[in-house]
Amino acid sequence: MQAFIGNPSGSTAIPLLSGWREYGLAINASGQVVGSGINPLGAYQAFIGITSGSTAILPPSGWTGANGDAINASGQVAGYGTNSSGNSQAFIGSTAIPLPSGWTSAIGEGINASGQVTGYGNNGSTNQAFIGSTAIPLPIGWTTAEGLAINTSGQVAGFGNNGSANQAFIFTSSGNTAIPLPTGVSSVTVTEQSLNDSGVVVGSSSYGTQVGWIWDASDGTQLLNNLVPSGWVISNAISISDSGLILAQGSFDGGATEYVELSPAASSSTPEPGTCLLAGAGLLLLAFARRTASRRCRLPR
Amino acid sequence: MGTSLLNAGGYRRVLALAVDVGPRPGSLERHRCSPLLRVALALFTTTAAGFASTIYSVSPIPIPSGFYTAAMFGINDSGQVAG
Repeated sequence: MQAFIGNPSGSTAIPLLSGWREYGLAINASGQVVGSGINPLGAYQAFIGITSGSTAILPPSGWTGANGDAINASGQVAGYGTNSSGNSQAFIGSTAIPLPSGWTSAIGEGINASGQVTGYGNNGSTNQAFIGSTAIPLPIGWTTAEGLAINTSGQVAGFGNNGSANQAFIFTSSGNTAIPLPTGVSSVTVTEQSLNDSGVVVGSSSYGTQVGWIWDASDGTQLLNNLVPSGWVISNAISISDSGLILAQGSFDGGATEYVELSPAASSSTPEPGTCLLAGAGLLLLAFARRTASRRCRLPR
Repeated sequence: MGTSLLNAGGYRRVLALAVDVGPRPGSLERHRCSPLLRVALALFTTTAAGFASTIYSVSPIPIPSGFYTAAMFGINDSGQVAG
């Protein structure tokens, strides 16, 4: 088990710490990867890796293990681990984040540029999302909610049980907004989710087959299958960057599922040559048809 | 995502152009009978679909050399992913 940094041009393994096994879970703008590893003592411990090596992150004092889940542009790491009481608790760097009042556990999942950490935990009766040590109210009628990502505006994306099925939500200064299920989907299992600084959420839902989707406040929920070239099937949207690049899983023409990068708008703003030829032919024909029609129109006069 | 929104707008503009060249008052009969105009409109419709159908390009990400399996989780603005 070894972490790596990849892109469409190739992927590079991150050198392991001596005696460790490691996997990466998030990457920041500088190319720093955060993840979890099993150290030589057999305990989980967070690390930061780059292409030239890895650095272990000390867990909060008294903890028996820690997992790194998220990293911001400053290199601050958030995650969760097992505290001295044997319960899960979120951390930032090597500092434990106090649990919201009355909670018994917390899992850190995301961190933004300001160092705000989101995640979810057990509030004593059900799972609930949080920012730092503050609980995020459950969406009305929902029985559970889990925060998975947070952006620079403090918006949180996550999912929970709406009373009958799992559904994604976004929490903003205006409160919670349920993200509509993809068209034709009535019951889902939300499997992945990510949020960028523009408030765009990607995720995937399973209803027999798994589908990747994208949501924003103006366009609503769209299936990524409808936004990619013919032949591609996007089954899972995992992560979105601030510029709109999407890490997803998909298959082409019934082939094997692979990890793919979706780049926004390349072919819409720069149409393919065939499309340009069609447009040109259409314009010429329109002009010719109009000229012909004008002549016909004038003849009887 | 902002770019894709712009493109969605562009798509709508192309469609609007195709509709604008349609029948005008008093000219419906003439346009209906013009095969040339019908071909032109068909080409425009096809073109509009071409502009609209792809908002994302898709690029596979290879796993590192020597790895049997890999899972990928996060992406940054440079297109780098962690796994």
